[in-house]
Amino acid sequence: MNSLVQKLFRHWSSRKYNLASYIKIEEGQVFFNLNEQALRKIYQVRIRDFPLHVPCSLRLRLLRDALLKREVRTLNRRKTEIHLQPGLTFYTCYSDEQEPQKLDHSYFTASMIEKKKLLRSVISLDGDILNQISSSSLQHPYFSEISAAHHWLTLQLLNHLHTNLNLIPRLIGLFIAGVSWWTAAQSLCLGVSNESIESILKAIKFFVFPFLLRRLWIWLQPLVIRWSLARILSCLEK
Amino acid sequence: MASRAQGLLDKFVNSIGDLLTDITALEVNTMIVTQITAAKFNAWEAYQEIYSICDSDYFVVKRIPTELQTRYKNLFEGLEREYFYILVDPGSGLYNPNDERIRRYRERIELLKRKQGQNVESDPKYKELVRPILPDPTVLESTTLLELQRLLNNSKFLRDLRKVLELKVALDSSDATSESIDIIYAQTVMQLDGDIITRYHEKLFDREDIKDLVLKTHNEGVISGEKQWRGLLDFMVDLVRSTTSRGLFNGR
Repeated sequence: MNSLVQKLFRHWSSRKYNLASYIKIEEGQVFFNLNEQALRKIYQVRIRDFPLHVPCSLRLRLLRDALLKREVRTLNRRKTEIHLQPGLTFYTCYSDEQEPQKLDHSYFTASMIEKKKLLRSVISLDGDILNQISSSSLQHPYFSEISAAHHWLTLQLLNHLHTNLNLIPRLIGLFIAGVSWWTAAQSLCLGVSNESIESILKAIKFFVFPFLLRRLWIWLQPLVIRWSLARILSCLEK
Repeated sequence: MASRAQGLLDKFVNSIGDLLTDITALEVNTMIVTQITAAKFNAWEAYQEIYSICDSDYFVVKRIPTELQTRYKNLFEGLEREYFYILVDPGSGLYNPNDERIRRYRERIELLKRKQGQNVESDPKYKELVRPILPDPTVLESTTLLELQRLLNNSKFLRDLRKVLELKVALDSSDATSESIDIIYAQTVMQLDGDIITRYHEKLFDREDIKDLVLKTHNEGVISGEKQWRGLLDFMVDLVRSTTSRGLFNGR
C-alpha cells in the first residue's frame, strides 16, 4: 500500500514539470526538443526518481503513431494496411533560444525538422539499439546533460508503451473480479437474515459463484483479448 | 469484417512471435556521425537503395571512394544472407526449398570458401553464381512484385533492412577526406544467459578529446537499453501468455 501511495505521489509531482510539452510524436519517430530550461527540469525529475508524466493524448499518440504504421498499397488497388513499425527513432534537438512563456503545439513548428539534431537512437522492435552522436555536438558544453536527458526520456516513453499495452487485460480482469465479489457480498447479506437452509445456499453461492466466474474469466480472457485486439487493429486500419 | 479483423490479429501476433527469437540478445551500438537527418523509413525505397549497390556502375555513378566500396558490398551481402535464411526457414511464409536461388547461394558460399584468398572475380562459374538472389525491384513482373510485397511484409526482414539502411546512410554521409569516417565506436551485446560482450574500435582510443564522452554516452545507452529490453521481454511474455488459451479449470 505504501509503495502504491509513493508511486502515485511521484506521478503527481512529476506533472508540474510539464515535460511532455518538449516531446513531439510522429509516425515511427519521437522528437525531444530541448533547451536549457528543459534540461534543468529533466534533471530535477531524474534526481528525485520521478517518472515522466505522459498525458493521455500523448499516450494515445505513442500507441497509435509510434507503434503502428499505415501503409497505402497501390500495387493492385488503393488499400490501407497497418503493420507494426520495425522500430522507433528518437531524436534530440537542442536550442539555445529562450522558450516562450506558454509552451504549446505552435512551439514545435515545421522548422523544428530543420533544427540541428544532436542525438539519434534507432530502437528496433527486437530491442537492438543504434545510438548516433553528431560529431559537432560533442563540443557542446551541455552535451553530457543532453545525452543523459535523451536516454532517460527514451527509456521513460518505452516503459509507458509497455505498461499501457499490459494494462488492457489487467483492467478487464479487475472489472470481472469486482463484479463477482460484489455479487457474492450481496448474496451473503441476504443469506444472514433468512432461514438456515437458505443461508447455507447463499453461503455456497458466496464461495462457489465467484470461483466459477473467475475460472470462466481465465478461460475466456485469451479469446476476449484476441477479439479486442482484432477490433482495435481493424479500426486503426480505417 | 470479422475475418479481416481476425487476419489482422493473426498478422500482429505472428510479428510478435517472430520477435521472440530475436529478443534473446540485446545489441547496443554507439557511433559518431557527420550529420543526423530525420528521414522517415520507407521499406520500398530502402530496399531499392540497398539493391542498387549490386549495379555494376553504382560506385562510379555515386563516386564512392575505393576504401569504402567493400563496406557497401558487405551491406548488400548482409541483406542477401538474411533473405537466404528466410527462404530456408519453414516458418517464414516465404519458405521454398526447391528455389534454385538456394542452390545458387549455397554453391557461391562453397566456391568462396574453396578459393579463399584467390581472385575469384574472373572465374566464369563465380560470375554465374554471384547474381543476386534478392528479388529485383526494377523488374515489373507480377510474380516478382508479389514476392517483393510479401518480403517487405516480413517483420524480420523489415527490421534487418532498417538496420542495413542505417549503416548505409552513415556511410553515405561520411566525409572520406577526414581522418575518421562514420563508424561504430562501441558495441555491447547482452545475452539472456547473462553474457555481456563489449567491443571498442581502436580509433576511439586515438581520440583523447572525445573518448571519455563517447564511453559515458555509450554506457548510458547500455543501461537505458538494458532496462527497456527487460521491459520488452516482460511485455512479450505477458502478451503471449494472455493470448494463448487455457482450459476452464487450469490455474494461472
